[in-house]
Amino acid sequence: MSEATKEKPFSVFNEDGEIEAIPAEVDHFVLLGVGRKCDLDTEALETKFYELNRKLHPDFFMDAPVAVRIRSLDATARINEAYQTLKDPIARVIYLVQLESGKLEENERTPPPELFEEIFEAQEAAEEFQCCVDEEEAENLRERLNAAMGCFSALRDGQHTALDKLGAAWDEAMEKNESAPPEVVRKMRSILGQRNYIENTLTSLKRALEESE
Amino acid sequence: MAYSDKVVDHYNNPRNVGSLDKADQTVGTGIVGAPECGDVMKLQIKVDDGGLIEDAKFKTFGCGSAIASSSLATEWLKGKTVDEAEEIKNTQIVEELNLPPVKIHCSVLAEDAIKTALNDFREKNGMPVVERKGHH
Repeated sequence: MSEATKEKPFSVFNEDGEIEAIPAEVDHFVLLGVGRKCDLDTEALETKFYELNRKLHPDFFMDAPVAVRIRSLDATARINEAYQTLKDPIARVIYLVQLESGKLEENERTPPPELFEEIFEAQEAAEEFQCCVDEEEAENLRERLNAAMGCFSALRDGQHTALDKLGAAWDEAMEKNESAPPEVVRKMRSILGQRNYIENTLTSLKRALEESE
Repeated sequence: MAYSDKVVDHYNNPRNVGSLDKADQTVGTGIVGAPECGDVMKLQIKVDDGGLIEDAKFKTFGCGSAIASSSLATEWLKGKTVDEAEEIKNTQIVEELNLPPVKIHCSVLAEDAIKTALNDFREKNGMPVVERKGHH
């Protein structure tokens, strides 16, 4: 599968083994020397990260000139960020989709009305529950919150399953040396665009239920 | 990052929190969200016979700046005509609340909510809707 990477892999070090400044356009995948894929081998990723970390760590450059120390710090920060992003499957997909098709902020700001209705209902119930003093009423609300919790958890699971499938389709297309299929990218953007609404609602529901315990 | 005094004031004492009857002919509703942070905002206006906005309500689930932006928006909406309300810009909200660059999207969200609510009212009452232009 390494046929696609015929170019020389990126290296933080120049021919004399000195640290170079990393250009801004070098992405996380290139930096850590792993394939640009949705589903990647996290063990190999970890190995690459530690390997680089051992070579770049500022501790090794305490006596080096200031410019080199700064480059070591910068490089360490960059590989840390790259590793943190790529090791998390969701953060990785968000990063990849944005690399491919621009920031998620450019998404539609008016999501499906049915989802929003459910979000407002759940959030309002959570708020009511938190200031509710009547015991019977509180019990009813608690039931509603638990039901909503189940509903939104299922939505989140559904998102993850869909993202896995789309990710596999993406990787398959990339392996054939094609570009990412626009339809797959569009679907992923739409799922990721709704993700924070679902997460925030789950957080509110959880907080409300926990505080009452 | 610290919130400005005005943001804190609106956050602690939000004006006009609540809901109006969505089905009411004289009520316009705008529901919008910010996908990058997951904040959701509902803003409603009620227009009287003379074409003035007599009441405005909001419900926002999100950060302090989003709550403050929508709270301020409802204050500004009251007493304006629908066309005057169209002129409210997110930059005015940024200025009034002293929002930092990372929170500008909260004011954009409030402007979006206002315009969606105004168009909902126009649509319900057979008035031509106003096309949205791109914004920053």
